[in-house]
Amino acid sequence: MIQETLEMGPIHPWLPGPMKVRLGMIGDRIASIETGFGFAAREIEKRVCGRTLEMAPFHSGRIEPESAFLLDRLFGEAAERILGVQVPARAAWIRDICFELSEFGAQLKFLARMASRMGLGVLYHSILKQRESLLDLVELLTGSRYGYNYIRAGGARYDLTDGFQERLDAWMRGFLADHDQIYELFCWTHPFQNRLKSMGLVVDSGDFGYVSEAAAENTRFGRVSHVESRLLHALGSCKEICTELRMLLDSPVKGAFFERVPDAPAAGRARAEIDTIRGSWSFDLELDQKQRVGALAVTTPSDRIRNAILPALEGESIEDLPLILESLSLSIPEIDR
Amino acid sequence: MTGFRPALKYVRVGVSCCGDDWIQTESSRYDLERLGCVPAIRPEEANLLVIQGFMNGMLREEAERFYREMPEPRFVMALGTCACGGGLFPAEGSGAEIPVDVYVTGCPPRPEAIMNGVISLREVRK
Repeated sequence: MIQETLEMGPIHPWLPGPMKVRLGMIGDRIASIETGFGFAAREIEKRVCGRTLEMAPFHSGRIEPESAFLLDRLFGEAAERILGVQVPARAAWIRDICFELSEFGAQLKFLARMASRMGLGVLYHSILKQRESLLDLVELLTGSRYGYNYIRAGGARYDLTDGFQERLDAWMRGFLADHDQIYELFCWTHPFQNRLKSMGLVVDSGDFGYVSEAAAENTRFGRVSHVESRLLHALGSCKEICTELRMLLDSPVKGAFFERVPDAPAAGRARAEIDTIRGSWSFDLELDQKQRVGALAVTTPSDRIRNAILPALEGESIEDLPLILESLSLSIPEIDR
Repeated sequence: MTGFRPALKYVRVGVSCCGDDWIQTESSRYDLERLGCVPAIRPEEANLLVIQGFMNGMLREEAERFYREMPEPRFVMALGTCACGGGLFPAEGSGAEIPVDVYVTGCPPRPEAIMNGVISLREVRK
């Protein structure tokens, strides 16, 4: 058997983003793997220092553009705890809608990329078309396709746009009508039925921290079709998110969407945390007397997901590398700088 | 038919913020391919280098290597505010010593802007 070392990256079509990978190969099987990343989060932590409460989320949202709503919300919640601001009920409701939209977009992107990796071109375009309509809705709400700087300390930047709820409702109905077709197009294909079985690692840690909890506990890794179950989980999640959005739209909350942050000096530290499908995000925020950011420490899910790369890939065939890396939902923007 | 024009075959270098909208531009609503813009696997096959996001040291080296390996005539598109002028990362900028033919600004740029950039490249190629 031939042993060799294979270098990939920082740019390669098989990698989910810029990263360095050194693979030790025995024949076509992966025997060892070393990875190298940067950390966008560390860079941005330093750049937000000294910024105001209005400007800092503009930077922190760039850690992971897909999750900009979520990151804005984390920043806002941490600041509100320090300043003692109570968010109005309508603002909380708007934030919940944004959170679901953010998660929906991420799931659709994941499905599209998996379809691309599996060679399912029609499905890739079909899902991206759905995502494009979702981005239109996000733009209608925030003025930007990735929702930058919409959620602020004290509430939201503006109220829901006229007609947003009706358009979201119509879009969800359209998506649910297509969902079964997407499901079948995924599951009744040769790559799904024959290739994804027994690929990667198994994770059975419930809804939250789907990948990263397993990454923290290597002993729980098994070799029972992680990639397949991750894909099915993403497909199922889209339906669940639709249900949650429907519940939110059915119970609208009236009132103010923003509570003014007091001007009085209020320095302090606070932590905000959110569980997502990929794992936990947390912001440790410190404000100075002028209500500017003194320090920010970010914990990203990908920090932990990185631990899963080796057990997921060890012993696998080199041709499965792109599918397994994609299934881990490594979010490269948050770690590649 | 007004005549045959060879396809723009692109390779992309950089981070994924703007790349997200590039992916959306590839999708069926915008259909980048109808403008004759298709992906290439290797820089040796490409004639368009898309620099997306800002360039750190490691990526700058890679972008320059890609540019060197691309056959003439070759074109470069700077995609997004970070690649055009630094954006959030003013110390970095687009950085690489590569002549840029088309700048597509925006954070992130809309698919229409990307398509406009590709159409502008057709003028550059004349």
